Amino acid sequence: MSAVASSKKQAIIIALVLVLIALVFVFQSGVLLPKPEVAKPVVRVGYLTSDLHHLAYFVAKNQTAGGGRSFFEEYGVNVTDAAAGGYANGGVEMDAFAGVQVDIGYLGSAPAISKHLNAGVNTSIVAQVNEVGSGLVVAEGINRFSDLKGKTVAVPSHSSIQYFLLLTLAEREGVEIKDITVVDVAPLANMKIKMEKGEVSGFVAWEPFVSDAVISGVGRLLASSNDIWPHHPCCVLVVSNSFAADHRDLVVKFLKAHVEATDWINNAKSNPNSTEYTLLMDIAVGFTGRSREVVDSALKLIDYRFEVDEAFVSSFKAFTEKLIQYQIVPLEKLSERGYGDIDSFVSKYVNKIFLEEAERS
Amino acid sequence: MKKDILIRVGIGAISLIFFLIVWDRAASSIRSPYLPPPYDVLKALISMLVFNQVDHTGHFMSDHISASVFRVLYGFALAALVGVPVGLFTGWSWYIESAASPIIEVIRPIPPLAWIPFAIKFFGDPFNTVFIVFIGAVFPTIISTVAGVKAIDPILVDAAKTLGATRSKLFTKVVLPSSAPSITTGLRIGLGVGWMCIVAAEMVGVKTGGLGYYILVMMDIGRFENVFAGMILIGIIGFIMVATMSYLERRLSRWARM
Repeated sequence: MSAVASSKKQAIIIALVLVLIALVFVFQSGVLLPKPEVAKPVVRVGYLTSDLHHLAYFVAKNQTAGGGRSFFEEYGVNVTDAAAGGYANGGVEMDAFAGVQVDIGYLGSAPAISKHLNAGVNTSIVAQVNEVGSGLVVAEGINRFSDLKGKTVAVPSHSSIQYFLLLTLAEREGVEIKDITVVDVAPLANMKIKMEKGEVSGFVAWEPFVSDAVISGVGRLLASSNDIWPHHPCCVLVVSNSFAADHRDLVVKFLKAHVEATDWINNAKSNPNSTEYTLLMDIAVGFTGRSREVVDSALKLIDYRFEVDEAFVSSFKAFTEKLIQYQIVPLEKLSERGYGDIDSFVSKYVNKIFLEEAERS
Repeated sequence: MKKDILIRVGIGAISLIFFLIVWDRAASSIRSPYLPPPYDVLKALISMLVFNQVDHTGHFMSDHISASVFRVLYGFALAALVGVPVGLFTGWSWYIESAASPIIEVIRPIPPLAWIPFAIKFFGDPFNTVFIVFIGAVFPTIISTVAGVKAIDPILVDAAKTLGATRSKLFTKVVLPSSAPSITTGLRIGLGVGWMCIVAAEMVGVKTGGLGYYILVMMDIGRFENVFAGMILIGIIGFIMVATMSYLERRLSRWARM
C-alpha cells in the first residue's frame, strides 16, 4: 500500500470519527430534536381518507348545513386539514399526533389505544364519533360463516376492531380462527380487488367499502358489525393533551360544533326525503368519492354518536381487554404509562370533562 | 495481509460500538418510544430470533424471514433472467438500444410502490410481491449490463473479427466474458435494491408474513422496538446477500480477466 493511500485512509477515518463526535454533541444539545410548533389559533384536524365514519367533520365545516355559516364558524373555531385528503390509517394519524402535526383527530379506537399505550402518544379521547358501521362481506358461494373454513379473509389489520369482529363471530359460530387464513390488506379499496380476483373469500371493512363491494356485485353482506357485536366502539375524537392544555376553550368549542354536526346528521338521516338528507348525501359523496347509491346504503349501517356514556366506556374497556389479551398491547405498558389497571386507564384516557363542558354551555 | 484484516475488523468494531453509543445517547436524549434505545431493540431481536415467539398476527419470526427471502430471491432470479439478456442485446445492437431505451428510461424512475395497485390487480399471491421486487431489481441489472457491453475494448472486437469470428461467436466469446464483471455488478446492485423493496412489496397483503409485513404491523400498533429489530434483520440479511454476490463478482471478474 502506498504512503499516499495510507494517509488518505487515515484522513477518512479521522473525518468519520469527528463527524460521529459532532453528531453526539448535536443530539445532546437538542439541535436535531423536533421542536413543537408554536400552537396557532387554527385547529389542525386529522381524519382518515374516504372514511364515512368521519362525516361529522365535513358536516361541521359545511356552511349550508350550518344555515349560512358552518358549525365551526358559529363557535369561532378555525380548522384546517392536518393532511390533505386525510391519513391512510389511524396508526399514521397517531404518528402525526406524536409529531405535533395534529391537534384534534377522528380515528379508530384501536390505534388510539395501541399507539397511546405502546408508543406513549400523549393524547386523550374526548368524544365518540360513531359506533358500529362495519361489516363482513363474502364472495359468491359463501352462504354461512362456517363456509369460510379453509378460506382467506381480509381485515384492515390484526389490531383493528374489524379483526376482533371476525374473532367474535368465529367464536359465536364455533369456528376456530386458525382454520381461516386472516390477511391484513390496506388500503381498504384493495379488499374489493382481491375478492374480485378470488384471492379472498371474505373481508371485514368499514363503510363505505362494505356497501361499495355489495352494490358493485363483488360480494354480499353476511353480517353487519352491529349483528356481530352490538354497539361496539368504533371511531373516536382524539385530542393532543398539550394542545388541550394550551387551548382548553378551543377544544370545548370544537366539541360543540361536533355535537351539533352529529345531531344534524342524525336528524337528516331520520328523514331521507328531506333537503337535509340530500345535502348530507352531497357532502358524503364529495368526501368519499363514492356514488349516491353506495353512500345511501353505507349510512344505514353507521350510528353517529358523540356521547361518552357508560355503554361506551364499558365497550371501550372490553375492547382494551381484548387488545391486551391478544398481546397487541403488553400488560406492562399500562404501568409504564402510569395506569394502575385497565379501569384506571379507561377512566383517565377517556376524558369526559370537555364534552360535559361543551354540553353545559 | 492478516494484519490488514485485523486492523480492518478492529476499526469496524470500534465504529460499530461508537455508532451504538451515539444511538443510545440520542435515544436517551429524545426519550421517545419512536427511537428505542439499542438495548430494547436487542431484547426484541433476541426474543424474535432465539425464542422464535409467535406474534399477534400468528406468525413466527422464521416464517417472516423465510417468506421475505423467498420473495426476494424469486423476484431477483426473474430480474436476472430478464435483465441480463435485455441488457446484453440492448448494449450490443444499436437498433435494439434505440427501441428499448425510451421504454427503459421512462419506466426505470417509477418507484416500486407506485406499482402496488397494478400488482394486486394482475398478480396473485406470491407473484404480486415478487413483481414489486422484480421491478426494483431488473433496472440496475439492465443498466449495468448495457454499460458493460458498451465498455468492451473495440480492439478486442476488431481482433476477433479479423480472426474470422462470426457474429454469434463474437457474442459468446468476447461480449459475454468481457461484460461479465459489469453483469455481476448489476446483479449485486439489483439484489440490494430488490431487498430494499421488500417493505413496499409486502404492503400488498400477504398470507405468509414477511419482514416488511412484520415492520408494517408493528408500526401500526406502535411497537417500535420490534420495528427497529425488523429493520436491523432486513439490514443484516441484505448485507449477507450482497456480500455473497460481491464474492461471486470477484470470482467471476478473476475468471473474466483470465
